[in-house]
Amino acid sequence: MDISINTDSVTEKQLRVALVGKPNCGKTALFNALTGSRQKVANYSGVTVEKKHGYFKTSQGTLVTLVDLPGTYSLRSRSPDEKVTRDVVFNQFNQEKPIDLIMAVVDATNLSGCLRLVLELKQTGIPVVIALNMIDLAKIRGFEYDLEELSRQLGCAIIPTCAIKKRGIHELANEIDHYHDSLVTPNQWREPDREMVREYHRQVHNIIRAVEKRKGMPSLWSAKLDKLFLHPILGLVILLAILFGMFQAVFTWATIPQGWLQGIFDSAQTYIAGLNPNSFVVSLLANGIIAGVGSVVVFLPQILTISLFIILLEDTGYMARAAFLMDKLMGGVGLHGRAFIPLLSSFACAIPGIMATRTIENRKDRLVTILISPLMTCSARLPVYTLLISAFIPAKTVWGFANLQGLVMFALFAAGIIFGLVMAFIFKTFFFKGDRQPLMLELPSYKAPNLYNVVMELIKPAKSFLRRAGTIILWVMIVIWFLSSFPLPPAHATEPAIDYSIAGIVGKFLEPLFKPIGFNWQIVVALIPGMAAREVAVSVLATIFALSGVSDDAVRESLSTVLQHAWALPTALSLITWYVFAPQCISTLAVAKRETNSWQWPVIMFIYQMILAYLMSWIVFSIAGHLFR
Amino acid sequence: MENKLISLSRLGKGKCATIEKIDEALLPHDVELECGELERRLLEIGIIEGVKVTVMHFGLINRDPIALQLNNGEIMVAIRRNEAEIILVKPIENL
Repeated sequence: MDISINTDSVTEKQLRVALVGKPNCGKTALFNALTGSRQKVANYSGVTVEKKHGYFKTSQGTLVTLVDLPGTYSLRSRSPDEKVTRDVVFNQFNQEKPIDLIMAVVDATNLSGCLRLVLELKQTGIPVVIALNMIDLAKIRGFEYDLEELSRQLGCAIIPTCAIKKRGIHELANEIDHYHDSLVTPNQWREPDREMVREYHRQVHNIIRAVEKRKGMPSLWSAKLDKLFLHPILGLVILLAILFGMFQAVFTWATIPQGWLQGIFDSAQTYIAGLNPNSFVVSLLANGIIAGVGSVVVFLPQILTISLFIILLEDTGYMARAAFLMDKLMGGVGLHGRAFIPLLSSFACAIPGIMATRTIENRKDRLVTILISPLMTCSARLPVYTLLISAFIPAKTVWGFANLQGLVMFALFAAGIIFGLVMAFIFKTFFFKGDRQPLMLELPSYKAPNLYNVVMELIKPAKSFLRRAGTIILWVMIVIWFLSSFPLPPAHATEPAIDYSIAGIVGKFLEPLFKPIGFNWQIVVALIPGMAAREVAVSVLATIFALSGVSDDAVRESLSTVLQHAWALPTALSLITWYVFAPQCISTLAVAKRETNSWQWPVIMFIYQMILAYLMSWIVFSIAGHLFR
Repeated sequence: MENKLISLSRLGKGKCATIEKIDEALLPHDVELECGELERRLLEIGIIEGVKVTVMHFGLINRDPIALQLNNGEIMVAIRRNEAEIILVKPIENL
């Protein structure tokens, strides 16, 4: 047996395996199939990288840590994403154990595109195991390979797999048991220049000639679909229809389960508040925690809906087509076609959006995309928009089919997009002069999404949202409840209790600053914790109005009815406008800092958004003040 | 028609050609990339001498970008008209 483990024969054998492959080779599906739910996402300390780890055991009991790496065409790093892959393979993260084994994922329908990376990986001297993925699809299309010959030519084990049907997964896991550290050879990898790339391709060409017994057909479906989806005019119409459908789904389908959640939290709050009306603990539980956290958690259906759309667009291969269609249009303001994907993700949340900019190779393009991504309307803004729109915009039908509330929501999204593009143009023209970067985009063949994978990918945003609700938002709610409850009002107080509290005092102190844009002190109080998470503003307003006790009945009615009586229309419009532009999210600024590795960019982001928000709110408030006097 | 090389950017929709030469020096304007980088990126995505390309789709504005099928549908890639300038091809007459 293995003699190399005699030093720690008590503990089980452990191996670190890196999962490396080209984009769109089914790597994520394979990662999910191998590790199931035993996954962990964390950040490498000190660096700007997210690491995805999963764990599984082989049949011989080896505990494997599988490191999922971003898709890459080469070990040389031209984008931050590709740098991660290289740094992990060459163990640049000193605090970690080096990689023992590389698991290279090869798309069986596209050997010529994948094998060059395998040849590069072989140069590192780390043992390589190949997962020949999508083997089922390759068979259907008629590809046939001499696997023994391929294994001999490449000098490593080859396991045919079909990740989405979970075929070959056991065999792949057990192949890891053949690892032995005597297989490791010295690193001979050099960054390939253009002639070396040509040489690698010649080798790949020869290998394929030796192993390919039958050449398969291209995906006929993809060609047919592309006639539709990449049609210069029809394609754009379809793209718009998909985006429109996505926003419709968020505001119609998602509101149904949202109503159920709302009902649960409402009855819980009423029940607990009824237990003992005079107890502080009960007040904290009912008015602080349940009202506050509840008003955020109800937006889970919206977040899931928008994430579902993005996952489906990615998984089916449509996202690359969208980038193709948008490239020239985005080029008009100096953005790269690849910026479309991060910007679309920013509609769910700017944080994954900013992280998705790692696929943009050029630093300037990447910075511009990061700077404007918070202007895309993220799902955290939905609570604020929904509340204010339902309170102040009548739900009447215009033009025979469209709901006025829906139209206003659409206009807010549009405002974010338009000003995002305007800002991109300004940044690109005045601060980041330079030529456009080349576009090189692979258009993968279309694939039906796999239910298991979609669910696995959907759980991630849901988890992180609920974790936020359970941590940051929970603490903010407790602090706000405390600040707005103490000090207690004097014995014969004439005003509501919150007027005498710390929150009331701070809000009133800052009120003059926001007076020109129509904000009253309650709004100012809500804006401050709203920095921790935008959606908190709604909970804070709920807490403030619950505590300022307009009347007990009014609180039992919905918050929107309360606001209708408390605020004038111009104030509401001004606040909505503020939320389109304002840098109301510390996490976004923190991620921008992490991703750009400097304070300069988050500071610029904060300042420009602040100026834009104040200016636009002032304009809206002034105009609305004249119109609706 | 033999031996006459044209730039890929001049190839019409639906036309096939064999890639003969990729040369950065043909680029009509400057890019901020280091020398050899543009060429290397094209090579990495699979646009290499000897590969057969078919022009599949154009974008709406100025027929840009261009979607190309490589080696009879092994893979589809999109590049801009600008970068297509540096790719010299020999057209294959359609039957």
